[in-house]
Amino acid sequence: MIRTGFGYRRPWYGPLIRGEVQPRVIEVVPDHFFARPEALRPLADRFAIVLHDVGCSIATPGLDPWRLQKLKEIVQISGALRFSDHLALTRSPGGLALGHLAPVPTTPVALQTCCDNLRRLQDVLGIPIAVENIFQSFDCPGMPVGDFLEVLLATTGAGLLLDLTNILLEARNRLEDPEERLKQFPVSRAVAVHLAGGHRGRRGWVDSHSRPVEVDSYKLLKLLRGRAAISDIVIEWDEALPDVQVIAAQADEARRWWES
Amino acid sequence: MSAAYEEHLEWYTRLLLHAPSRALLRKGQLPEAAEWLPMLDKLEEFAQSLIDKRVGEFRRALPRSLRLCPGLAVDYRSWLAENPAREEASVLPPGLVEALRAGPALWCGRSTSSSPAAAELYRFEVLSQASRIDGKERFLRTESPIHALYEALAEGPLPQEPEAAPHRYRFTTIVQWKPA
Repeated sequence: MIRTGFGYRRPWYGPLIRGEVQPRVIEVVPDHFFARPEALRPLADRFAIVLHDVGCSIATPGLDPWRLQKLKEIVQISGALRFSDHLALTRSPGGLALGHLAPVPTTPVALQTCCDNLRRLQDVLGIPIAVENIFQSFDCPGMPVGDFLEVLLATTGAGLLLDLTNILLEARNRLEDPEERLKQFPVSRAVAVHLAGGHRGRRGWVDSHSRPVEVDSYKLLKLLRGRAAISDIVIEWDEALPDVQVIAAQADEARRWWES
Repeated sequence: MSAAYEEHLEWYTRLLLHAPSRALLRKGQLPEAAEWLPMLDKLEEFAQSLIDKRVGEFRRALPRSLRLCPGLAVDYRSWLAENPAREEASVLPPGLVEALRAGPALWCGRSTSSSPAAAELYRFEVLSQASRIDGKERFLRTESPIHALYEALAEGPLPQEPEAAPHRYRFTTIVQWKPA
């Protein structure tokens, strides 16, 4: 049975521990527990945990050893079922930090770098790894991102964490059909799904994780039925956090769409 | 790994951190620059979003200092443009890491502060939060009881400046103080 849940955010810690909601999976950003990894234990005792990182910068040659050690500790404490990060650049080889997920140059050398880093993550963490498509407001010169992901995942055996809302909003910004855009990604390699709600900004749609999931995202979700071995669906919400019951209801809604 | 790839990533990162048009102009002679020119608007937009995000994190890390001294965010934005962040091995949230990094520069010869206690409040707010999170011991000496100003800034109207009375602070997961 598919696991549906949401990304953990600090204000929801109490309600989760008290059992006010019962998601079937909780997605945790490891950085939130770097200072006190043991604080993750009560959550891990109650819920299935998947880890979702934002800082590996898999296109940068060489993973940060300090981060790897921290991640290993978090994996051990949480008993996480899977670790994921983005197909993204967040730091330069010289140590400049972008502070956000930037599109990756999709060249053969970048592909080799990403493969090397994913294999290292697989070796060190010892749990299944997935890579997520980011929201791209522009594409770097090189091969299409979907093709890049296909080769990356086929070479390393990693899964795809498919962010359907990113695909939907990118399609709107590029005046493309969302279903056609979805076809550009290696859907059959998807192991998990992210859904969120964005908003329309001054210059187009923004993946702000600030609103309920749109029906159009759920419609894309239904297209995955029978095409991918999805194990979990996670709702993301980062700005203007609602009560935990609201996001838990979104997770239930996602399950209804998947099972309908 | 290819040195050319690393060099390209370094350039690409700077392109995103600084105004892309300037970076592209500097690389105008190189063939790959032409590939990026059609995306210039998007790159400028992305670069702006990176700065906006950093400033938002900085604001969230220093709510009381920003209340007392709203111009601080503008100063940080200007400083950040010339001093991009570097990756740090830290358990602190990014806004706090930046507040620690930018502190000395922001308070050295700055003009937007109208409050003599503002610099002390900034240090108090940053150090107390950092120690509460990472548990490291930090110290501060102030010319006034800055903890009282910090508490008074939690809500309500802006408080009066505290009277001069030097204090010493010790930060761990809690804050301890005594008159100096």
